[in-house]
Amino acid sequence: MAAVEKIERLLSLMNALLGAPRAISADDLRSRVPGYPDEDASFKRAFERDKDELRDMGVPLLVETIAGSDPPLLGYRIRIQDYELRDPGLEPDELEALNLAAAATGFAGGAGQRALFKLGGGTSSAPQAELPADPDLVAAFTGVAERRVITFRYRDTDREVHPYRLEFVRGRWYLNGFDRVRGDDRWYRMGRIEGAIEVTDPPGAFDRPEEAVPGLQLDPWALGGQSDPVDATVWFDPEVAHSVRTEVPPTAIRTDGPEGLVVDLTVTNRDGFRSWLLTFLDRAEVLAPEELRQDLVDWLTRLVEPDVAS
Amino acid sequence: MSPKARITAAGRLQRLLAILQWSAQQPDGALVSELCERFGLSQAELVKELDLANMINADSPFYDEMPFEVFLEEDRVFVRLFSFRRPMRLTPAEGLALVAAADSLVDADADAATDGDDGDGPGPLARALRKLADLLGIEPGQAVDVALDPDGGEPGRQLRQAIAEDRQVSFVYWTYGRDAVARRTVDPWEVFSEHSAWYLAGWAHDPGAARNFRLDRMQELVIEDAARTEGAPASLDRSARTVDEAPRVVLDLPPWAWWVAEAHPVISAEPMDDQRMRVTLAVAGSSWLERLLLRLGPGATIVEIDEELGGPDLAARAAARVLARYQPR
Repeated sequence: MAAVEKIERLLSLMNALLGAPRAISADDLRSRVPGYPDEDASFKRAFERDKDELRDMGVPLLVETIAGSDPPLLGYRIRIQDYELRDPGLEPDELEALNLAAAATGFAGGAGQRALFKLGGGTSSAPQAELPADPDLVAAFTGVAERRVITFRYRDTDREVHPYRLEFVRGRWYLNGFDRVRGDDRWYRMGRIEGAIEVTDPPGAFDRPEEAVPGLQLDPWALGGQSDPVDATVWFDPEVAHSVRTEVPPTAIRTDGPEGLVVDLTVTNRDGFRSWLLTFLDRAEVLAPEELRQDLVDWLTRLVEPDVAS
Repeated sequence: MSPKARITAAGRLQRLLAILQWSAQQPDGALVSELCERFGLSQAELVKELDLANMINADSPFYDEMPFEVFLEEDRVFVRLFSFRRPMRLTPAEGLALVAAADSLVDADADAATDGDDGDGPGPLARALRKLADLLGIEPGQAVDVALDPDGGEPGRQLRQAIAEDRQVSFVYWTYGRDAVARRTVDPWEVFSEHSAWYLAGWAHDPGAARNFRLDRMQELVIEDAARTEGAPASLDRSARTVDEAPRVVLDLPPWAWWVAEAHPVISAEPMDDQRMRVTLAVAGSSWLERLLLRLGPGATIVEIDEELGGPDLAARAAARVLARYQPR
């Protein structure tokens, strides 16, 4: 069975490279690792595939000039200190708590399970609640953990970002970071990143902010807003009050009773505010200020009388 | 994903190392039954993996390069490691998976409140998260923050209790598609998560049909004394309403409204000559469509609309209804 031979060969290859005092040439590896094809071109292809396979597993394969070789020859090795997992010193109850957490929440694909096996725990069931795995999430996390600059395209602009924080809110992943080009802290919605995230060298390229990054506020009347703040007072039908209460901060509530729910909001994104308010149809009304009432009336009037708009 | 799902060569290699490393740490050898359970293998499968381990470099002229020695004696496995003594460091994907799982359960505030002062100190998961964060070089609670209650929150727990006790539930529910709020009585079958939202599947007494309800739109949830009358079918339909039978609308959207095609189930989307996009949407109900059209404003136009949703003047009529609130009283 081909799979068994491949596993044998990969393990032998790792065994030869792991902790080798100096880099080993491809030719030496060919003679020491059983299972490689005899023909030169086939060997080369198989060896390239194996190297890719090891890197995909996360094996830190080092490529360097073999010491003392003349002319200089490239060789390979895996340094123990790069390879081995440092013991995090988890107590049995801590490991058990991680087991339970991974059984409750996780990604498809078994990365959490592999991690637990390495830490000496283990669970063989798929998580109860699955987190959506954005294809760029691991790249973004690599940037956060190793303090690497990441680059990507967002809203038609190329970005260079110091990634600080990943947040999962209401079913979506967001990334916070410092945009080097714009000189500003920003939140990016992961699903709106165009193409792929590139993770650049070297690690440790920036310092994290000393103050914790404030959590993402998803308030539609403020998110991404650039306009001057306006204090708005809004009434909601008591039948939808429950839904509104889950979205506004408790301090925003002015009155809450059978006549309805009245809340005060500081609006910095007028489009976002209008759009959110209209999801309540006629179960919401802007009470003040007159300016925001008028905005909404104008918008709706253009929908009622399309011809007047142009 | 079933435990018997296909495993890649790399996945199998990593699992084999995990089996060997764990076994080597057991002073009296590892029990075969325990290994099988931990790693989700049958006894025959486990023996096959152990044979594989013994083959590594067995034929090599460099006999001293054998990385492991594995003995199977009755019901125990004894392993000696000459190499691969420690597991490989966590990959970013693995680190992220564990941190995200732990963070979704650790209450950041509770952790901070018990930090340092009297009290019991942080719980085992908070301590584990800290050690993990240290291992990965990140700040706990800072690098990754996951807001997802793995049980579906308090309603999720109550509903599970009702299911276990075979009782009916009732709750006030906002049916978004029809914009109707009413108390519903339901025979609960299953609480499940789909696209990161929590749902209850059950039998709705009104209208007497199987329905899915979103937990975050339930209020005043009550576990009733009455027993369930309708049992769950053999297989539950987790989609609210299949796209095939839902009514449809065809809209022309200007570029700034293309997000609609990304955010909602689209049956088709075709770019047009004038920068606009023509999309066909499956619609949950006319109120849902009214909301969408009011939010989009005059830039989006209806090309075709199923009769059951209303006419081409759906947006104008909805706008007039909302405007009525703003007339001088």
